[in-house]
Amino acid sequence: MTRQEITQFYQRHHGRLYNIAWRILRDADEAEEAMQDTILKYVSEERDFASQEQVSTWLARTCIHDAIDRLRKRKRHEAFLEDYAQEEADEAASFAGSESSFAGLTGESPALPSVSRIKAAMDELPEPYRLILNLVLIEGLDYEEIAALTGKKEPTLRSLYSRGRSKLMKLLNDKI
Amino acid sequence: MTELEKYIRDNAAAFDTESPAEGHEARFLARMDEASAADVARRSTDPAVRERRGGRSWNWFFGKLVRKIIPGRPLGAGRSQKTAIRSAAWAPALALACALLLVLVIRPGDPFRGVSNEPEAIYLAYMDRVADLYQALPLEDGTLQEITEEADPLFAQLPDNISSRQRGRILKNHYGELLAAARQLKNNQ
Repeated sequence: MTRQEITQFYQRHHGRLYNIAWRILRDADEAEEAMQDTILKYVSEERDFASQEQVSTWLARTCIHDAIDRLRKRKRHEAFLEDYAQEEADEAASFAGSESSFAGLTGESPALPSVSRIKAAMDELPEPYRLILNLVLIEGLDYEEIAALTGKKEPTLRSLYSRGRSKLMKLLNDKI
Repeated sequence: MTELEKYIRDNAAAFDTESPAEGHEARFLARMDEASAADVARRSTDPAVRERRGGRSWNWFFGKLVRKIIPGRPLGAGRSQKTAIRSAAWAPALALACALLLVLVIRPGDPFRGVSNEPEAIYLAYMDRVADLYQALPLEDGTLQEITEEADPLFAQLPDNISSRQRGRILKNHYGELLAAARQLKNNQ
């Protein structure tokens, strides 16, 4: 790729990749680094994909991988993602019934909350829940992929996701 | 899937609301230029460039070692007694030097012999040795896993500001110790 092509490539993809990294790292400098590392990796390896979709998928996955690696290095302890799954095992029952809808308060068919409200609620979640919900719902990864990225077992991730979703629903319902 | 989950998935792009700080593109181009220059230096076959990267040639090192071990003049007619004594003394010294060479340089039994100082290469070599040990031990024994598995691999934790040689030495020592402990376990079976 020429310098101009690389610049155009950067301009096309940097926004999405930055947001992917930001949602995981919550730090502007690190997110920028992760985003740029991803694009530099693509450029230096001179990869050749059949479609733009494949390019986008590769970039997203690589950026997620890089961001999670940085997060693990930052944390540097085994409790990454696991503590919440164990600590809150007893609370699972308290969220039963809150998953299905927002209709409890008014009895009417509820409007879905706006993206900004959902974002604000996700920002309030503890990091492991926010991370797993982000990876599953926004980045569209399946549990197998997340397990490979994080080194955690799928049942642990499913449990985290289930509790994270319940907490998110509760936060959104509380704000109605 | 709940309505909320579906809504989030369908509107995932709407969650991309953040922007990097001003000047990010210039920073990226600067990093790209720096990475290109480093890549060129690494691939260079110019001895001057490689010498600047540090490290002496083996010939230089071996020459110095030999000159240290054999300081006297070569044997010949008319030598003095001192020369004769010094000449006789160099044979065991040379034998010792060869033994040291064997242990320090050739390192028989070294699990990382021939492995570069790249952290990933060292870790992969370590995992290969661990896999060999697993074959020699019963599968249900979890002790090997406890010895050899790391929550956060050391190779990913070392700071960037240490040299590759130092990084390689640290990692080879660290994983070498883990393998030695694991081999001890195997020997005790």
